[in-house]
Amino acid sequence: MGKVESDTLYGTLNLLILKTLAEGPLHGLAISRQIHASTSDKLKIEEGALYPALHRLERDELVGGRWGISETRRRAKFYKLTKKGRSHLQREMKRWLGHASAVAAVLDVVPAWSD
Amino acid sequence: MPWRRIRGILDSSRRIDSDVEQELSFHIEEKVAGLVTEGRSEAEAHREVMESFGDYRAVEAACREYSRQRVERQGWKMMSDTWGHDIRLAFRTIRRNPGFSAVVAITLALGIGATTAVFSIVNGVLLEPLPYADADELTFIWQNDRATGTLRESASTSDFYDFRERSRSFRAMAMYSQTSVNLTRSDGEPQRLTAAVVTHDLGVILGVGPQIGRSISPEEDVPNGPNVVLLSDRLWRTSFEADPGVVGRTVSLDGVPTAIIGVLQPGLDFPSKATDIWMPIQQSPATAARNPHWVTVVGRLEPGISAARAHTEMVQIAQDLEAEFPANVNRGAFVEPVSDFLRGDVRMTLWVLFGAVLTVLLIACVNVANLLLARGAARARETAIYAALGAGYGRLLRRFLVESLMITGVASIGGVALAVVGTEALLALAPAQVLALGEVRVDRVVLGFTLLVSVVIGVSFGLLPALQASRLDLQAQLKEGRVSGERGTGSKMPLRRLLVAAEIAMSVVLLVSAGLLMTTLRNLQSVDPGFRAANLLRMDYNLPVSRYPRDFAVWPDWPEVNQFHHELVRRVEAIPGVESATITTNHPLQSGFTNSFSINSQPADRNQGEMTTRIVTPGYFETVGLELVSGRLMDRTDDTQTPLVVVINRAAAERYFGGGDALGSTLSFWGPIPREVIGIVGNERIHGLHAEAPPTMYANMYQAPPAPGSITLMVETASDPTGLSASVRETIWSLDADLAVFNVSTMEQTLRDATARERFIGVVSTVFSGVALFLALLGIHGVLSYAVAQRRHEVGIRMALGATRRDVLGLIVSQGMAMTIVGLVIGLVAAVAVTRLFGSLLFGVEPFDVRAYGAVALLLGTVALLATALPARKASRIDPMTPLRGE
Repeated sequence: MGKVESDTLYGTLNLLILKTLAEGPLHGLAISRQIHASTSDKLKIEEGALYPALHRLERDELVGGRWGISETRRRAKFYKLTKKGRSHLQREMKRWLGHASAVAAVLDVVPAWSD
Repeated sequence: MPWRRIRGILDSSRRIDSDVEQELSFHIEEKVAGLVTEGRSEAEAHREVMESFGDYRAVEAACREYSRQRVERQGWKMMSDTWGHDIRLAFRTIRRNPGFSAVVAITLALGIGATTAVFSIVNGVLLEPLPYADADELTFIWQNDRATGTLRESASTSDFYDFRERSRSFRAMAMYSQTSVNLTRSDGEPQRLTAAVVTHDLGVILGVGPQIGRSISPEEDVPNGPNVVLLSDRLWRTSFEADPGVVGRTVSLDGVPTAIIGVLQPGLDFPSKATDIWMPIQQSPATAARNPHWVTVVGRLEPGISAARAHTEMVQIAQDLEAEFPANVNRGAFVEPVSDFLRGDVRMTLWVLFGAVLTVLLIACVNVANLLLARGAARARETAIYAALGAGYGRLLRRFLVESLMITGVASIGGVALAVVGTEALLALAPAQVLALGEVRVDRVVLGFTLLVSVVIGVSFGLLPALQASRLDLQAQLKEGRVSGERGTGSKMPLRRLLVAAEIAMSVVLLVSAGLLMTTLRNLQSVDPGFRAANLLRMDYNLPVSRYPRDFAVWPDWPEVNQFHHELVRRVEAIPGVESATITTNHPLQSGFTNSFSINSQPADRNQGEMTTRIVTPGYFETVGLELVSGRLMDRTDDTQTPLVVVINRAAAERYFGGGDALGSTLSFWGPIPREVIGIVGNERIHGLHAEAPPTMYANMYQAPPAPGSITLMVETASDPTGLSASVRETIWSLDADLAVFNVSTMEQTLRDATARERFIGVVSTVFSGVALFLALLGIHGVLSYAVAQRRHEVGIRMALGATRRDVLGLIVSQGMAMTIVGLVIGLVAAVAVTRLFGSLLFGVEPFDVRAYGAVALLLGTVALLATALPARKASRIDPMTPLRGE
C-alpha cells in the first residue's frame, strides 16, 4: 500500500479529490474513504494532506463548502464540486492522462487505459 | 461604519477557527470510533489517528489560513460587485436626466475650468520654487535715497566693496549691472544682446553652475582683464544652434573679439528673462568709484541670519558710510529677499484674481447644490422606497457618491480642457510683469489641484442628497402622494433660500471689488502723463565704444558721438512725415537714473542729494510735448563751446528753489561744473502713472554726453508712427550699418503698458463678477420657480378666497426680494472687509467708496427684481381651479 506524500503528488491529489466529488457532495472523511475504496486499498491519503488541499480548493472556488449533518447525525462540513471545479477537473484529467501516456511511452510500458 | 467591518472581520476570524476545529474533530472522532469498534482501545485509536495527521497543529494552521484567504477574496468580490452595480446605476440615472446632468456638468466645468486656469498662473508665477539653490537665502542689497524717497536704488562700486568688507550677515556678495552690446556676425543683421556684467562669483552665489564650459575665473574679473563671455541657454539655442563646440569660439561684441567660455543653465533668467550673456564686470577696489551708482548688489545670507537682521546691519553700515563720504549723503540701505522683489509686485494681483475665481466657483457650486436639493426633494419618494426595501444608509450614500463623482469627473475633464484655453486667454491679457516670471502651463501640480477640487466638490455633492434623505420621514413619503408629500422637505425650503442669499452676498463682494478695480483703471487712464503720447515713435540703439570712443579724460569732447547724434537728428527730421526728432537717455515713463547734484547758489558743501537726470538733444521738449513754464529751452546750436545750460521741471523748481526764482541759478552734477538753469518745464511722469513726477533735470546731450549704454531716439510723426519705423531704422543704418536697433515701439503703446496690470485685473474681475451675477440670478429664478410650482395648491386657495393677481405677484416678489436684501446686506458688509485686503491695488479710490457700493446695490436690486418677475408672473397666471381640482 502506498502512502501518498503531500509534496510529490500535489496536483494529483487535487485531481483525486475533484474526481471523487464528481458523483456528489461528501465530507472530508468520506472523501478519504472513497479514494481508499476506489483504488482497492492501494492509495491511502494522509489527513495532513487532505484537509489543507480541501481548504485550498474551497478558496479557489473549485469546490464549495457547506455544513450539514453526517450519516452519524453529527455536524460535518460537506464539499461539493462547483461548475468551475467540474471544468477544471475535465481539463486536468485530460492533461494528466496525456502526461502519463508520454511517460509510459518512454518507459516502454503499455498503460492499462490505452487502446 | 468602519468599526462594524472590523468587528465583522474579528468575528469571522473566530468563526473560521472554530469551524476548522469542528471539522477536524469530526474526522478524528469518527475514525477513532471506527477503530474502537475494530477492537482498539480509545487511547490507542486516538494515538493512531493523530499520527496519521502528522503535525496536527500545522495542518490546523494551514486550513485556517486558506479559509481566511477564502473569506478575504469573497469580501473583495462582494465589494467590486456592489461598486460595479452602483456605477452602472449611476450611468443610467445620468442618462435618464440628460438635461439636468448637462446643466450640472456644464456649470461645474465652467467653474472648475476658470479656477484651474487662474491657478495655473498662480502656480507658475508664485508657487514654483526659484531656480536658485536655497533661494530664500538670497537677497538684494539696495540703497535708497531719503531725499527723493525712493526704495530701491543701485549702489556704487565703492559701496559694494565697503558693504562686502564691513558686513557680517552675508556669506558672499556679488554685484552686477545690465547693459546692451551688439553682436556682429558675418551673416544677418547685427544683433543686440542684453548683457549682464557680473562679479565672477555670481554664479556660485546663486548656486547655479554652467551647463557646459566653466564660469568666470577671478583672474578674468580684473580691470583690463581678458574678454570672455557666458552665453544664456536661450541665446545658445536660438543663435548658436545649441552647438556644444561653441566653447572656445570667439565672437565680436561691440567690435571686440570675445571668447565664449561656457553656457549658463536653462531657466537661469538672472538678472532678467531678457539677459542674453554674462560678462565679467572687471572692477576692483582700486578702480571703484563712489559715483555713479550703477550696480545692483545681491548677497547670500549666512545660515541662520534673517533678512531682517541683515537689513538692520546694512542700515547701520549705510549710516557709517554717509558720515564718512559726502557722496553717500541721504543713501540708506534696504535688504530685500530676491523672491519678494521678483514676485512681490504681482503677488497681490494674482491672489486677488484667485480669490475672485474661487468665489465664482463657489457660486456655481451653490447653484448646483440648489439643483441637487430640488431634485432630491423630487426623488424623495424613490429614495424612500429604496430605504424601505432594505438598502442600508451606507449603500444609499455610496450610490449618491458614485453618481456625484461621475458627473464631477466629467465636468473636471471638460474643465481642464477649458482651462488650457482659458490660461492662454488670460496670458494674452496679462501684463508683462506676470509673463516675465516663470513658466505658466497646465502641468502635474495644476492637474493635481483640479483633481483635489473635483473630489471635494464631488464628495460634498454626494453627501448632500444623502443628508437630505436621512431626514426623510419614510412613512410620510410612502403614504402621501406627490404634492403634499413635499411637506416632508418643506415648501419653505429654508436651506435653499439661505444658499441663494449666500450666492447674492458673494456676487455683491465680487461686483464691488470689480467696480473699485475698474474705477482704479479709469482713474489711472485719466492721469495726465505730462507729455504728448500720440504719434511718437521710439527706438533704442547703442554706440559701441570701439567705433565711438568715449575717453573720459576729454569728456565732454566726444566728437564721433556728438557728430553721430547731430547727423542722425538731421537725417531723421528730413524724412517725409516726420515732424521732429530727439535723442534722449530715457523716454517718458521710464525710471532712468539719478545723479547727485549741488546748487551753487546755495552753500557749496551741501550736497542736495540725487535728482532724476535726462540727457537730451535740444529738440526733446518739442518732440515730447513738454510745456515751457518759464525761461527758455535749449538752442540747437548749443555745444561744448557755448555756455553750459540745464532745464529743470516744475517739481524740481518747487522742491529745491521754494518760492524763489530758479532761473539763473546754477546746477552741477558729474563734477563741479556749473550749468545755468535757463528754463522750467512741466512735469512728465517718470516712475509710471501712479507716482507723482519727481524733480527732474534735463542736460544737453552735446554738453554732457552720457556714458556708453543704450540710448533712445524719439520721433514725432504727422500721423501713424508705426508706418515710419522702417524708414527711421534705415536712416540709422545709413549712418552705421552695424548698429543694432531694438525696443521699437510707440509712446502710445508705452502708455497703454503702464496701465496693463490694472487693465488685466479690472477686466478679469469684471468678467468674473458678471458671471457670478448671472449665476446668482439663475439661483433666484430657480428657487422661486420651484416655490411657485410647489405652492400652486396654496395659491389656488388664496385666489379662491379673494386674493387678486396682484396680491399673488406681490407675494412672490416679496419672497424673492427678501432673499435678495438679506444677501445684499451681508454682501455689502463682507465687501467692506474684503476690499480692505487689496487696498494697495487701488488708485484714486478708497476701499469704502460709497458710490461704488451704492451702484452695486442699485444694480443688484434692479436685476433681482427682474429675476423675480418671471416666476411671479407665472404665479399670478395660475388658474385657481386647476390646482384645487388636481389634488
